[in-house]
Amino acid sequence: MNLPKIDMSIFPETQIKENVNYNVNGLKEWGETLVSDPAKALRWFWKGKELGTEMRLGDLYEDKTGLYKHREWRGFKDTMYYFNMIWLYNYINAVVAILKSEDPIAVLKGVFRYRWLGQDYLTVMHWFDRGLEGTRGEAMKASGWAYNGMVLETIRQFCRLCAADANLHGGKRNKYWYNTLAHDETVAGAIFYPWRDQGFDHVAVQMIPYFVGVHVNSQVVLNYIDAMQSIGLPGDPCPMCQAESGIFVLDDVPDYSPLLIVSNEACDDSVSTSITTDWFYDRPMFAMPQPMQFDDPLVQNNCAEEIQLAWNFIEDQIGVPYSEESFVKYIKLQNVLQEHARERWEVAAKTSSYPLTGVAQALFRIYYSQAGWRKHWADNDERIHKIVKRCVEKKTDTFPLTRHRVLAWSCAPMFYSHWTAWAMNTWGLNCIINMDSLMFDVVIRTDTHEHMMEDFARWNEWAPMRYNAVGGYKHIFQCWENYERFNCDMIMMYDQLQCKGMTGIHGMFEDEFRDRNIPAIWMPHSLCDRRVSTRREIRAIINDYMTTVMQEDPIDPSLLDFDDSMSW
Amino acid sequence: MKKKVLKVLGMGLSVYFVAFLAFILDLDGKALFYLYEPIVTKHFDDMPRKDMTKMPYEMKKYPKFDDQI
Repeated sequence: MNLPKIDMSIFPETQIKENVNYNVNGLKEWGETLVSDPAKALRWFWKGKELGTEMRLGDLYEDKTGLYKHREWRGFKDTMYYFNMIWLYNYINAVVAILKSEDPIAVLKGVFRYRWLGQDYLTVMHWFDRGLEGTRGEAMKASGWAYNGMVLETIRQFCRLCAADANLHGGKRNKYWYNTLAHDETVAGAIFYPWRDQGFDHVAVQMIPYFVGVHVNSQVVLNYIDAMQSIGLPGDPCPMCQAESGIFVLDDVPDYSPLLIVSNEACDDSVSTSITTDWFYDRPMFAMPQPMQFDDPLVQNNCAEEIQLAWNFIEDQIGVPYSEESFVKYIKLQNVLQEHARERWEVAAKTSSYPLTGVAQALFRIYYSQAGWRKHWADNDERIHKIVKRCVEKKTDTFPLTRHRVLAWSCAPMFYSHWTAWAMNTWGLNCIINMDSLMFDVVIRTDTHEHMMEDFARWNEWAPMRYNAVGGYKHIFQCWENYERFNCDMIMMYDQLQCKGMTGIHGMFEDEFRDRNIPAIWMPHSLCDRRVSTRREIRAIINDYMTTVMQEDPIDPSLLDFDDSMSW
Repeated sequence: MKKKVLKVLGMGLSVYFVAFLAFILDLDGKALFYLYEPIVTKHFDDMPRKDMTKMPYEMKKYPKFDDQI
């Protein structure tokens, strides 16, 4: 058996020495403090170094890789919680979830067949680390449960993809293949509720191979972007659509379903994705448009009709009729999550006791709304909700380093969704809410079919990157009312460099920021492509603004500038 | 019996302690970055892949799914 030789030059000897020295020196420092100031040393052990004065989070990083010389010591209780209930729990939980899935052997095969599965998801605990950096107590716990929900859904999806995948079963289509419905990641999972209780499941084509993967490991997606450009696509269209198409160009998509539902959501570039998907996936496809001018009352019926046509298409393809009972059941369950989200927004808007970090609340909200109701979402939502209630009752200041309450607007950098953790620890910028968390804000009536379809059509129109981003400038300008509603005093304005729509309205935002006297930072990024504007550049822009315009000093200077160019 | 229980307990505690060391020193991250990733990257870089652009783009013809089970 020829195993590939390991390139030993990749082991940075100096880094290993530096790590050992750092750890030895850290222990030495603690030992010396124990002798000179035992109370302080014991406080460091029990409560951890105080954030904002003693703790230097930037010193924990290895140069370039973003790995930790050692993970953060958050005090005994919080470190043990993180170790037991986040690190250990999620590793064990992941293994158990895979072993309990439809076909664990297929998942193992998939790890060596699909780059996104083999490279993205094993680094999952670093995703937690990046997003939860600097959190303590209830904030750490609530955000940890939000991440756990996302892990469970990701495992569910890739397990089903592998179980149904004909590529992993010698070209043979099994029962899972026939009972899995494929759709664009921008087609909401709720569309498929009518078949949930009839032995069918649904998995988005691109969500796991591309979208979620970028958040966990931002290196892998570059293969897909480059693949699409290698067959002639210019470099300037939306990188999301490039990557969604690139997974097909590299033949990295499981063959797992007899049909496909696509959509024009989020924008016109997605129509191009649908064309490449139609070409490369080569199976019966239904294109279900989601109206852009959704304020027009005339489009409401049209949208409901398009959903009905999609359902007719599914019925024709699989020979199993739509079930109103199943649809109503899951819509009711979904409504509970929506009501909880509204309650939590109230807490976020009116108190300093909201325990979810900016990145945890954003990704949890977007992921469960888009993927559709599942038990693990509901369980974790319940856990988070309990923590929120506890924080409110006890008036816990969940993010005591907060200096500014930030509204993040427009589409976020997927390769740096955890910028919020960095900004909190470095500058006290607490990202209270972001644009895409506010989508799908409809509690759907279920008293009559007509009411349900009317609301469901509207719900479907108020999708991510759609509700606030298209259909006229007044939607994107809902920024101002949410700025007031969430009691913010700064705006982080995402500047997706390859989004033509947002580029078109850039100047109007500049004018409004000036007129309204709102401190706003433009964060340039290229969605999933970390090469166009790097994480380090983003940090430099925020640093510049905070020192020059806001004239503030950093909370933790060790985080101001560091090289994480090779990190996940 | 007591000895056995103590042995099992000792082993469990040792595993727990090793896991904690791996956690606090980020050994899982380092192993993935320095050991696992170079191997799988090479594996995926070298993997033969179908040239998808050779696929004809036909609007109404699909592969036959006639092996219904």
